[in-house]
Amino acid sequence: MTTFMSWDIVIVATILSVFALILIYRVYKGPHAADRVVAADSIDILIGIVMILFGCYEERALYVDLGVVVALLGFISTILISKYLEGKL
Amino acid sequence: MIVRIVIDLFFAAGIFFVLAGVVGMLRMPDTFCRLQSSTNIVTMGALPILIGASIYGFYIGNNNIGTKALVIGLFILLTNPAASHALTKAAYKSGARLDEKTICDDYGRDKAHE
Repeated sequence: MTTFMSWDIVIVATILSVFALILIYRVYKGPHAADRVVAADSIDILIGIVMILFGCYEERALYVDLGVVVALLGFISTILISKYLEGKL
Repeated sequence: MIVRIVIDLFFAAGIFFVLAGVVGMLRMPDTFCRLQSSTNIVTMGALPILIGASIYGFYIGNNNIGTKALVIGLFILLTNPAASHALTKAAYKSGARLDEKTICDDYGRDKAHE
């Protein structure tokens, strides 16, 4: 299933995965809890984009739906953890 | 071929901004500066890649991929500033330390005068 842009999509997805792996350093080392939360949220968004690119590679819309679900769950978890840190939960 | 060049330009812009955001996340001295770099990753990094994926989906005739990529781009554009604002406020209230080079703290001054 190779179209005219398969290699471009593969290269972009690989670079974004490497960036997501680099961000794990900030999750491990962040001095405050907000650093860890925001690095995890960025990793979440990057994984969603990689899922959308994989959906473009396979030419199926199923993985794009999974990317929507991942982005939505990341937003809800960020809001919830920020409310917890603020002391209102 | 023109479509491929346009999509590659969108991908290149997105990857450049994601790279800038990741370098900022690793190198910034402060919690709040790192929060600013994370909004750089999500907003300016994710949106051009999603627009490129949407153009690709419409070009190969698969309207599902194009429409859903546009919808997730709109969703990210709406929700990320709200999440970032809530997280910044929570970080300030839970005692994240400012950098020692900080010269202006209007939020702390306003709370001290209440």
